Amino acid sequence: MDDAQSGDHRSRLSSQRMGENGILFLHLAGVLLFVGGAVAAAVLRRAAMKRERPSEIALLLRAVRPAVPVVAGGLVITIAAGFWLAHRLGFALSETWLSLTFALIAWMLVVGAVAGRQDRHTRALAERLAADGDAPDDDLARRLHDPVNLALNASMLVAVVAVVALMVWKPGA
Amino acid sequence: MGLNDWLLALHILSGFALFAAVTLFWVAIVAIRRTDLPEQVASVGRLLPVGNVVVIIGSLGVIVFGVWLAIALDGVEVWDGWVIAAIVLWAIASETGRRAGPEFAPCVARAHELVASGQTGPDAQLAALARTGRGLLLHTIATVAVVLLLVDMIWKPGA
Repeated sequence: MDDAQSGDHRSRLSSQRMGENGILFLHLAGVLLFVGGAVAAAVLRRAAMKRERPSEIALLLRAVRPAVPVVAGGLVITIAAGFWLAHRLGFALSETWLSLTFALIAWMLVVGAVAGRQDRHTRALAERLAADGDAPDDDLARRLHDPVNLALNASMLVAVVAVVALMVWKPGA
Repeated sequence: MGLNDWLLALHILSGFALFAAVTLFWVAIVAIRRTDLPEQVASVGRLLPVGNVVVIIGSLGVIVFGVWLAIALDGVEVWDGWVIAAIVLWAIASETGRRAGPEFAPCVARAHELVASGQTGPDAQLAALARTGRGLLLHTIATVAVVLLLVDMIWKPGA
């Protein structure tokens, strides 16, 4: 009887461990998609800043579009699997490192929406200018080099590194 | 914050760089395959050196910090099956990724030639070079190997 109970317990533990590994895989795959898409978008935007012709700028900013669902999907998977994992592993959501992570994710969501909206307008302007003679334009250059937009984008990269640090060191856990 | 925590953080950040480069190459491949205009191919082609730098940093960081971690951590050895599997997958990803790059080089070179000679219209040869099946296959294999690397890191088969 004891052996049977012990066997059941081992089997339950094994199945739970598999489950947790699966959730961890989803969580990390989500993070990799999110970070991969975000870095790809940042590199494309940075490349666009070095161009003058609206058609080239429009092409590079259009190339950001396939990265957007990758970033959004990655973030959704990361958050959903992260909550699931925290629940399964018994972490309280009020723990300092988790609270800080939530704050940073909220920051990335807000900043991503604001900066993404600005970039959509810049892309639309570049496409209009490309269709209308394709001459370099001061307004387009000013939008691409907008210090507020650059600071917002940079803050997201800093937030990503900070989240990794929180996940590894778990301060206060 | 011990040395192992730092090694783990650097290992994970290197993994992010590797995956970011793989994603960037996918964006570039999709963008190049969608157009047959030389200027557009040349523009996207200028992203590839950036991706090359990121992928070198990421793949070297992943293997160096990963092996260092395997040596430093108690209970993990470099000759463990899952660690060897990870090194093999890393080698497959690195080699197929390295071979994928030159497959797209003729396309980018052709685009630069056409731009330099003032030909900005669609070009059939450029389109054919952009749609290299071998380049796409090699990059797909590299991507699958990177995903399997993540699976191996999590499930650690045999550990």
